[in-house]
Amino acid sequence: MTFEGVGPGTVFVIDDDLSVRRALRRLLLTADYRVVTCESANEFLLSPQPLPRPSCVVLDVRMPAVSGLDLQEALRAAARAIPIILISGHADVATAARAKAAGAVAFLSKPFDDVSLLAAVRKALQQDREASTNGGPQK
Amino acid sequence: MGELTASLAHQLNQPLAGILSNAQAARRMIDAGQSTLEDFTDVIDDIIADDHRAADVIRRVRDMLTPGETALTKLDVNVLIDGVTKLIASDALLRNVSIASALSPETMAVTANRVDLEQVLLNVLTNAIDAVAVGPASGRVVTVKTARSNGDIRILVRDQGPGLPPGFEHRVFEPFFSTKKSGMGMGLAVARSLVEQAGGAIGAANHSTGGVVVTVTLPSAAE
Repeated sequence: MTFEGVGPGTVFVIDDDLSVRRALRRLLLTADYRVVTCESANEFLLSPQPLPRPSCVVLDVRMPAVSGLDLQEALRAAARAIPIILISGHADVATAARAKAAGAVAFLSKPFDDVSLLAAVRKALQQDREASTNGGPQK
Repeated sequence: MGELTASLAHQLNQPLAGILSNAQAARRMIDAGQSTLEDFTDVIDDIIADDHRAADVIRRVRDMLTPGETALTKLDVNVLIDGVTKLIASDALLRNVSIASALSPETMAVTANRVDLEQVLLNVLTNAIDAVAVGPASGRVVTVKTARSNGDIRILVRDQGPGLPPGFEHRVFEPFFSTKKSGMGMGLAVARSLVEQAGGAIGAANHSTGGVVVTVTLPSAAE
C-alpha cells in the first residue's frame, strides 16, 4: 500500500491489475488527489483507520478472493460509508445495475475516459464531504 | 463462443484501460509541466507493455481459431493414441511418469481431422502428466483406455493426481481458465472446440478413488 500526493481528497484505487493501478495512480496524481493503491480488497481493509475524509474508493469489480461487489457489500455495512466508484473490464448491465442499486456513485466500463473518472471522483468526494458535515453517515 | 467473447473482452479491456489512462495522464502531465523525462519514460514503458499484453491475447485467440488442414478422414483412434503416446513418451520418462495404455483390441474407427484429434489427445495427456508429475512417485501413472459405448467410441484418460476442486469439472473447459500457474487456459478450451467440431463431446470428472478422468466421446465411423 502506497500513500502519495498532497491533494484535498484521498482516492483509494483497488484493482488486482498492476498496470491499471499504475495508470490510475498517475492520472489521479495529475488532478492533485492523494492516491492509495491496493491490489486486493483485503489490502484495503487493512488501511489505517479512521479513513481520511474526504475520501473515496475506485474499485475493480472482478478480483480474485474478494470481488469488488463483495467489498461494496461489506463497506455498506460498515460504520464509515465511503463512496464507491466501480470499474470493470467485464461490464454487463446486470452488474452495473446491482452496483448502482447498492449505492455506487458511478459504474465505469474499462477503458474509460479521464474526464469520466475525474468527474466521478469529484462527485464521490463531494458526497463524502457532505456526509461529514452532516455528522457522518453513521449507521 | 459467448463465453469466449466475454472473456476476450475482459482480457483486452484491462490493457486498453491501462493504455488510455496512461496516455491521458501523460497529456495532463505535459499540461502541468512538472514531470521529468524519466516520468514520461515510465509512462511509455507501461503503455508498450500493455500493448504487448493485448497483442498476446489476440495471438492466442488467432492460434486457436485458425483452422488447419480440414480434411476429414476415417481414423483408428487406437493408432492415433499409439502415435501420440510415443511422441510424449520421452517427456513423460524425464518426469518419471509412465503411460499405461489399455486399448481395445478392435479397430476404433472415427471420422475426424487427424491433426485436430492428435492435438486433443496431446493436450489431454499432457495435462494428465502435469497433474501427476509433482506428486508422489507411486501416483505417477497416466492410464489411457478406449472402449465402445452405445455406438460411440470413448477415450478415457485418467491421472492419479490431486483431482479438481469441487465445481471445476466444467470450468476447466472455459477459455482462459487454468489451474496451472503458468497456464494460458486455452488447452482444454481448444480441445473441447475441436471435439465438438468432430461431433463429439469431452468431459472431466474426479474419479472416486482419486485423480481426474477426462472422457472424449466420438461418434463411431460408419463401417
